[in-house]
Amino acid sequence: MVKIARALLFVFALSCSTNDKLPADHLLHYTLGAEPSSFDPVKSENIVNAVMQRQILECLFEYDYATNDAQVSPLLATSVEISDDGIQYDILLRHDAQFFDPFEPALFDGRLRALNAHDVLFCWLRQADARLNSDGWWAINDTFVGIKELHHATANPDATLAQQAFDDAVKNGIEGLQVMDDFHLRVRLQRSDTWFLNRLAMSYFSVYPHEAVESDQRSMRDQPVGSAVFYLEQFVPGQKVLLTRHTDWRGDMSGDATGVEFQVVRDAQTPIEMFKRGLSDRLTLSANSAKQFLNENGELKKGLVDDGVTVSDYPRSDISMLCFNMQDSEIGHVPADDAGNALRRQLRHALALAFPREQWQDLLYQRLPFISATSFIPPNVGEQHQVYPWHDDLSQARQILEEAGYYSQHKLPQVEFVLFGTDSMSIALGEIYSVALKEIGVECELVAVPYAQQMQRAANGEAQIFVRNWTLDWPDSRLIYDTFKSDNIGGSINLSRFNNQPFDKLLDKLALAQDPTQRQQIEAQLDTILYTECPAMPIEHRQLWVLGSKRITNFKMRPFDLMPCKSYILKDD
Amino acid sequence: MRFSRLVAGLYIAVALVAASGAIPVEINNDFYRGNTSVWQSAAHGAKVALIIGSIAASTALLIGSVLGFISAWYGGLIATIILWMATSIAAIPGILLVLILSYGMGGGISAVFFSVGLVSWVGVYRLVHAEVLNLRNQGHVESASSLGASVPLIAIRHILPCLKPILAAQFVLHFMYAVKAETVLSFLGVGVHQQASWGRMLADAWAFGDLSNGNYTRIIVASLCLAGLMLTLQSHIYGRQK
Amino acid sequence: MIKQICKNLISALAIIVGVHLILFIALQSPTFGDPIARETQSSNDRALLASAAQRLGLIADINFAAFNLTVHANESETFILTMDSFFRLHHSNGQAIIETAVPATLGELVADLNNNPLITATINDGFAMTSSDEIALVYFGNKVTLSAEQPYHAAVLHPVSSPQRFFNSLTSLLSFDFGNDRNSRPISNTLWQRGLRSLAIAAPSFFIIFIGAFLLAVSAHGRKRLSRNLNAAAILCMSLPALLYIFIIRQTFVINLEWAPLRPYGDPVLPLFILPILITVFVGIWPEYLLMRSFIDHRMRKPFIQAARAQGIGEQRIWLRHLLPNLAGPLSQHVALNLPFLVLGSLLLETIFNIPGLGISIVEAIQNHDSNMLRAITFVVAIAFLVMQAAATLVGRYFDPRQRSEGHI
Repeated sequence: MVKIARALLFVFALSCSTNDKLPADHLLHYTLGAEPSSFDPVKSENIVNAVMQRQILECLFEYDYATNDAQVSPLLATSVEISDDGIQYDILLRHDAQFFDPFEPALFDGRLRALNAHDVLFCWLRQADARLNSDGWWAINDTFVGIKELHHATANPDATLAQQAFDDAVKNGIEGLQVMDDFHLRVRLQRSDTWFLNRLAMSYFSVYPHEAVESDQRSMRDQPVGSAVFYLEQFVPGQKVLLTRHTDWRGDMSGDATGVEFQVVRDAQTPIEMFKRGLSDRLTLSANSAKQFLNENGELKKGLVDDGVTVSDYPRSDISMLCFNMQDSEIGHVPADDAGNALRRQLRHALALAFPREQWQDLLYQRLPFISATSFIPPNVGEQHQVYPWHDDLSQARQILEEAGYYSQHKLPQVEFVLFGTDSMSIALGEIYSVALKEIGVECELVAVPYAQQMQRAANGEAQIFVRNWTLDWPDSRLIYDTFKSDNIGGSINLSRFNNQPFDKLLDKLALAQDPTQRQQIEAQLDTILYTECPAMPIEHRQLWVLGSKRITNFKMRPFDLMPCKSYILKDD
Repeated sequence: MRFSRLVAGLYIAVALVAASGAIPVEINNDFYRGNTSVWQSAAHGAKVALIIGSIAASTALLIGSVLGFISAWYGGLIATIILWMATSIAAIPGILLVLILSYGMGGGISAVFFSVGLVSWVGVYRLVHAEVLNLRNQGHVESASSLGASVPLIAIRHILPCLKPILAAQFVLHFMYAVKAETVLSFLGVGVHQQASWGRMLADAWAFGDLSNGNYTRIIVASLCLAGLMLTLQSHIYGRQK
Repeated sequence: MIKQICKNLISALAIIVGVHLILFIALQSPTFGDPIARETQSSNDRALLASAAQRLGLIADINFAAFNLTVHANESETFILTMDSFFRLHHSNGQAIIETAVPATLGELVADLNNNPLITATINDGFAMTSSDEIALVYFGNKVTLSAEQPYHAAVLHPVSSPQRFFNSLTSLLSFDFGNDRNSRPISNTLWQRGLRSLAIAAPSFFIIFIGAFLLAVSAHGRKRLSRNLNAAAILCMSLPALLYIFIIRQTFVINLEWAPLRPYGDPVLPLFILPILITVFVGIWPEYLLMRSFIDHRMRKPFIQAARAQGIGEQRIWLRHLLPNLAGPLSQHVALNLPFLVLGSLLLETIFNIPGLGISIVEAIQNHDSNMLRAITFVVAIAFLVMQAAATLVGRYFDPRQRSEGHI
């Protein structure tokens, strides 16, 4: 037996390895919580997918690494001319962008092909192809003239007709998207949009060759072909993604990483330890890890600063909100039941007031910063907003319920709070709300489901109360108000299923309003409706604090671009 | 043996006190981070463990013994069908089936004990089946049958008393299995919600990084409570075997 | 002999059907929610829903060209069409203006629409006589907003009965056609790769446990003090939860002492397996030791061993010539019956050590509602169990002449 013990110890000693160090390969090393499910931009809603696609594929515009603002600069485009009415855009493309195909069988001779305006047309129209159920349809549906008609035509259950409609559009363009020549694209919008170029910087508008999609032997999902500085060298599902830099790219890469290695790590503890040991170059701080890296004042600990670790805050334009299902008969809006609706409105206000905002934020963030929301619109979005007194107050909640007669005449319904995860943190967050609701006499059942299922239930109208986050892709308040537009019920946008005609009409007015004062007035009215009807309550505007390792000399976060890998300059020991 | 009975009694007493509401757990953020109310959570964990263990084991015993008796007594097609069900369930790894059922029922305490009960009955069934086949030919059973006693009467008055030792041992075994299964299910997020349990304490310790923060209390307390209960139960089996 | 083999094959097939029935009820029935909504991620797209229903085997075929229903509104307001248990057309203020039971004949539907003063409907094809059990409007309970003069497609479809679906699903599993997972990747590839990883931990652990437990039991036999101490250690170690060992050992050796590597799964993989194997051995050896002890003690008390001793046969010869052959049968059966469950991997170990094996696949499959993956994993393990059971029986018969002569299985 002693011999066995010795043998086991010997085997164990063999495995002991202190060479847990990164080789000096000038490679960026990141961890991912989940693997990308697709490299195809029609599946870009998943943040991991979007980040991966951005490394391999390019858009016409991008956010400049040097600045911290929301202005975009040309990437595949060289210049753009906008008409006076803001409807027509003439976009000129660069001539030296090329697609590189690293896979077999190769799509092009010499693995390279020049990118042109026809490719742009194909990729953008593909987002409107109803057969693909693209994640990007919401971003494109109110842009180009004729895009809705194309979407409808491709929804034809007759497969031949649907394909014909798409082929015609690719060949001849649509009214709002025309190829003038190989490097000149003309766009006509349904209406003027100040943020149109920002929209084009989203990964949904990435450009890739049609051959990568049309090939029978390959799929864009797993074998993406793009024009960016990195290409996909290796993808091991569930394990890692390895991107390698082109040896002779067209030459305007500001960083010097030879590639990026993403490793899939499912638990929350290992990435923290890996960062501490220098095995990964980036770490998003969470409540659990904040204590290990930040001091009581919320600053990076001195030892880490001396080591060369940097922290960058990312003022994400974001809102986390508590949503009520407005089509639920117990808490929502029932057509033609004015008396009941008035009662239910009071109930929603009470449920909102009972939300333990401070406790929630402390549990989620601890030392990390956040902005407790007094408005749906984040403060960095620009306009000053009427601030409504969203806050938590149990006694006020009780008072509202009492005045509404819920403690005397009407029965309080049992509510259901659908969580966004089955992990301990999500369950804990749910429990603190259910405990608070109990204080005001409302029984709350918790439903713990993974995030994807929570979204699915909410989209189906099966979730009664839930918390959802909405991140803006550019600082435009309309992107938040759109989440309450009745047209968007049934997808992943208007999860509250808010259906309010005056609100919709005001939103349409806002879309047309150019004058800042007018916009402010309309937004104030929109905020008033949201506060009065209470389909949701804003909780906080999340901020992201990210640590960069000492290897990255110029680490920082930028708005709307989570991993600007091509811009980092590395210093290896 | 006497000592183990004392310890078992202590667990039951603590569970009853917790169930009566005399041990409040203050739900605040320090609680989730494992800084406060650890012993109170452990007390509530005893309550949850006893509920889950006893209901799961009882369910397994009830289903297993009824089906075991029916298949042994009547034989024929019905025995074949029951045997088929039992073998099919036994062919699927227990923890996998428990996970699927528990998740399908939406998690929570009732999901845990029903899923464990629905999976565990097979072992009881096999033992009861074999024993009833044996007992069926015993003198007292044959006499009762020939005197016209009804089948339920024979089952309860003549067969059940002989099965007691087996059922008692099986009860304890499945009780232990259920309590252990709860820790796995809670760790994976489909276990107990809205109340403290030993499994949740371990799951929360991992999720909130207790070990990284140098806080070992929650893990040690939950593990000791689990170990204490398991030891008590095992010594009960061991004592009986002696 | 052949009769016996046929009988065994039939009983094996029966068990496969039983396992599949359990999976069918748990995963392909509405127990986990609407499988179509899950498949299409709650799409409202009619064609997508219908093709998903077809892919899931819920409907045999769809004829979209059957008829084309155009609803003309007399006012320029929107109408909202819903289908739950009725076909309902709502005015935009929420008032229901049409309710028709679904399925309805085309004629009934058109008549209801035509009877309403606000709207008219036209049919482009003459299917008014289609029987009611064939028509179903393919909306699957989703709400669709119609605008005026929206051409609207309906379909004739033929539902597949549950027994037929069960049969189709069973035959595809029996031909090892597992289909694709949630990310549209072939499951067979995933099963193979992940299964090998789980096996890389489980198989060495199992054999070390088996041999180690046996040697411990042999050492403990006849030595009272050692036996008592080992028994106490076994009971104590079995009482503590496996999670505790995993947490403490990982924190100590990986994080604090840095003796074992901390990195996600990747080459070289062998160092990553050592600690999980050691933990599995430490957790698993105790119940095996107790089992071996009981096997050995039980046989050592048998009369034939006493007779051998009485004849003066040496202890070593007794072990090798008399005891081991008697142990071989039940032990190999025990090994064979436990082997299939090895491929499952340890869910806890793989989760905490980030090893992408089958265990973690199960957890992900449950969370992502990947019923194809769950079916595949469960089915493969069940098949392995049956194969091993048959092998165990043969081994048992080989070692135990009594079973051979009585023809027991």
